Amino acid sequence: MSEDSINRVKRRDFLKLVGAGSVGVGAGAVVSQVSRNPTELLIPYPVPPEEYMPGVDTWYNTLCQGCSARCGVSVRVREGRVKKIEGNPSHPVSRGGLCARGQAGVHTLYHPDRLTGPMKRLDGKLTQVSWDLVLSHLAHEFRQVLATERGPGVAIVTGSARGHLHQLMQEFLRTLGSSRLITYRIDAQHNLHAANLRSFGARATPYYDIANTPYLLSFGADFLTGWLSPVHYSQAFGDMRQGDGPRGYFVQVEPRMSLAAANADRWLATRPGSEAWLALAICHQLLEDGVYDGPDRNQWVERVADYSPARAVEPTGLGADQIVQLAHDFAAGPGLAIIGGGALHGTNGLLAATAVNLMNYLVGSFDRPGGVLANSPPLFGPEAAYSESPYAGLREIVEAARQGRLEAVILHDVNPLYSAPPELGLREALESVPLVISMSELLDESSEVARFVLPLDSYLEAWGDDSPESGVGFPTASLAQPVARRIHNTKSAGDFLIELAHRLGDDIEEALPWRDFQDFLKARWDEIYRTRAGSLEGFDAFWTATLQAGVWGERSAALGAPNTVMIPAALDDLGHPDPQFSGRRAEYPYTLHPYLSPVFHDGRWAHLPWLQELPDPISGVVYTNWIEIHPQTAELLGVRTRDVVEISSPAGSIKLPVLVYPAIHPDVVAIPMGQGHHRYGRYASGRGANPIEIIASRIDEDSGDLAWAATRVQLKPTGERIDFVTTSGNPRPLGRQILGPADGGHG
Amino acid sequence: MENPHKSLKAKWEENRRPGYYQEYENHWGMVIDLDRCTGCGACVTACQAENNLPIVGEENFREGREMKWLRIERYWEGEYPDVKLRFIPMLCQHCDQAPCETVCPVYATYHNQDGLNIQTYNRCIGTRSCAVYCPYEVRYFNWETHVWDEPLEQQLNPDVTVREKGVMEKCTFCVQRIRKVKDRARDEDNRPLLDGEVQPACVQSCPTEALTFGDFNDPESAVSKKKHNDRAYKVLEDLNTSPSIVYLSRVEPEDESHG
Repeated sequence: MSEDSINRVKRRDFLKLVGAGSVGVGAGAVVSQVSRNPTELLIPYPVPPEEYMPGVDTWYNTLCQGCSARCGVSVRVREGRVKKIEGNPSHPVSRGGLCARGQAGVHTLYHPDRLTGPMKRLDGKLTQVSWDLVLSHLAHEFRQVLATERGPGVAIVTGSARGHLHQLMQEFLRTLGSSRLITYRIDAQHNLHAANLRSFGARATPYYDIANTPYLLSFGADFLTGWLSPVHYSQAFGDMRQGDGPRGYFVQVEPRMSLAAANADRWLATRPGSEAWLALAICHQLLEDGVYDGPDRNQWVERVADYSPARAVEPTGLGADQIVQLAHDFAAGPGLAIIGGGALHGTNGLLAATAVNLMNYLVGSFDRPGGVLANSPPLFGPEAAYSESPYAGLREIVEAARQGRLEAVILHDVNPLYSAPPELGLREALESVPLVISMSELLDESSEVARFVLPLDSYLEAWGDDSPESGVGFPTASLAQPVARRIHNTKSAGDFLIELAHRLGDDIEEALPWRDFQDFLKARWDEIYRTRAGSLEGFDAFWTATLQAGVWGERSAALGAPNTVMIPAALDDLGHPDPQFSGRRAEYPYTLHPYLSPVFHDGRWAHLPWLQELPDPISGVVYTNWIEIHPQTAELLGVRTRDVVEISSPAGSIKLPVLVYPAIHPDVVAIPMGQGHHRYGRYASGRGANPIEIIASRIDEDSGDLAWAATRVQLKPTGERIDFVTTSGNPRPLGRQILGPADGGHG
Repeated sequence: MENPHKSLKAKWEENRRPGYYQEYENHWGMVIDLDRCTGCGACVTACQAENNLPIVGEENFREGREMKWLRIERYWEGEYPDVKLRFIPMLCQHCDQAPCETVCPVYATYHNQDGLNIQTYNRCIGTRSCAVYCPYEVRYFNWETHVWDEPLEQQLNPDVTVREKGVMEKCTFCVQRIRKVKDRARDEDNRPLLDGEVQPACVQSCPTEALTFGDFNDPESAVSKKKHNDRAYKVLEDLNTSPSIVYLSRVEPEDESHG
């Protein structure tokens, strides 16, 4: 291993670059002048801006918005145009790497179907209007809302607002007397946060030290593509495999082989929803083996007494000896257990996540390298993630709308008519709200119910910031800056809210006195500067240096003593580990396993052509989605790959072509999310079907979160065929020496 | 004056001497660790972004006319429940004894002094013989002149030619990035390149650091050291193509001690 190469430096020494209590200055290329005036003219410039030089690249550091991980990125700009996005080597979340979504983010700026200006619905049709008109109309309407009943009739639903944008939204709503700010994403890991709160009283997602663990047991967490911080944990996976220490052994337990399972040393196909049973049975075995001898041992023995491996055989479908062996290996590791995906989104998701915490606790994997490490809470940003379920928020909106208590709803960068089950009744609810404003980059399913459709800046045109939710082990925060001049008549959400507040005047304007969102950000970062980074030469130097580096962090900050004693009551009142499903087995024989597409994730970037053309990592399919069924099931139904089946649940039905999938439990059918948009630009519209349409609006009663893996379905062949395209040639190696000298015998 | 075609051939023949570039400054190569690679596809999109690969549309995919200089191949082994899926990134292997080079009638593809298999777009006449001869199937032919829906073309990389109908193309190891770093080193007192200073887009992007790029002429480089790993092999080595990409096979631990 060459430790002195730049490769290693950029990845390993990022902590040194972000010095204690000071500003981290990036190792990547950064520029001296970073603030940009968004009203600059098109080239050719009579007098070009300072950083504009024909033929010379300028790199700006900002934040990716492809998922909630918020990787730091460096953006290559040439002659005012964005050319390429790369991971920011000195950013502790991405550490120089970037996933396919992050790479494709350039096209959020240059997408041909982006909204070019604000629109108002007149006689049912969306018509282009000016921002001035929009703002004066909205100010008028909001004043009316306030005059009738000041307050609770206003809500904001956001899909992406984090950091200080989230705070600004809260502030805006507060001045209107409302607190209804809901962050909704179907991939939100609420049960994980809730379990950590229950188990350790921690309002921070812990850091899972995958890189250094000798034994990783993952319950459905596809941490390589769709769990907490995919790039960060992918890197950790690489280091677990071939880092400096011994190679870690990795077991994935889930009903359908995900990308993580494909990369595991062993994949165990369990019955869907049985992860809670399995985790409790492993805890039972660990205690029986005397692995744990802490003073609270007896409390735990009592609590898991009913869940012996022998009793877990029926619910999980594993052998008792397999479960005992898992417990032995986990104790010997000592192991690190994580949970995500469908395991976290059944009706028993919170229980499963809490039981997984107990597994880690019993083998002493808290606060130990290779285990679960205490994290610093985000420096700022949404606190609610730890206590409120996003889906409970949506349900409350529906309820309020039904009772006529909602006057106005702002949908910000969220598409709940695509990403929430229709059974929830959100469409009807929103249709009954007098004023619905949709802020998005292009027309989507949810714009259909909006009276105003307001075009959002791409994240490459907007200011923003974030303190990573999944954390990196020390307090850190990043700034996002516009890297290119606006190409359409768009606004950022922050600027829009501040301008609207100014139009509303009086105390509302006073509460939001800032000139624009950048001004607001600076005011907030001034506080960080004064309380945490005072050693630098003035705020301006701090601001500029943070912009240049893209990140600021305090390495030496004490985290406080982590609470490493698990709260005994954590497992109480969490119901039974048996999963509940919508739809009786007799009528609906298969369990639907929806999963986040490794490419599209929850579908918010399905409109990007590079992603539509990126073959799915497992199936190699492009431009559509499919339903995965076990070869036995296919034989039973008499269908082959590409035959279309109708998939019906108690909540509805969709049609999709079959992909006979060799790595799925026979009782389970799986559909990737992300496709099936009716309206989302030319590259995504009308491709495949959206599994969320047939998910029952069922919740985990313990946490209030949507249990999207708790629906049963039936399949009916339709006789049609859809000739979807896969880039895979022959899917078997056929003895060719491709995967290595030893693979010859397997073909 | 000497016949230009003859001199071209003479030059080509000289450069056909296997390993001749080892006398020069660099022999660029790559090591791909399959025990780190997760098959996620970040490299594929990074390559598309860097090298102006067109958006071809679904119909072209159906015809097998996609343009991906780097693709992830996936292979299944075994049956449920002991089924395994294996990934391998496949790109131009920049073979020392490249079959594509010997077959080109116009010498549009040749080996340069950096050990790169070069495709000269404006010399290519589109016989597609090279694609037929390539055992790795990593050469892509432009069946049409692709266009970008406005304003997507604003993203195009100005350092890379946009290819037109009738021309063969393939991975260049991001030769534009190699040039840029070399130029910078030359401007800085002609200093030697640092190991890891040149990073093709795929290597730069890889979230798991599965890909390493460097100079095989430098015995101290990361790639030179990794080449001697016990897991090292070259794909279809028995065809005697002498690829410049070394793969490290995935580790298959004994399952006996694990449930």
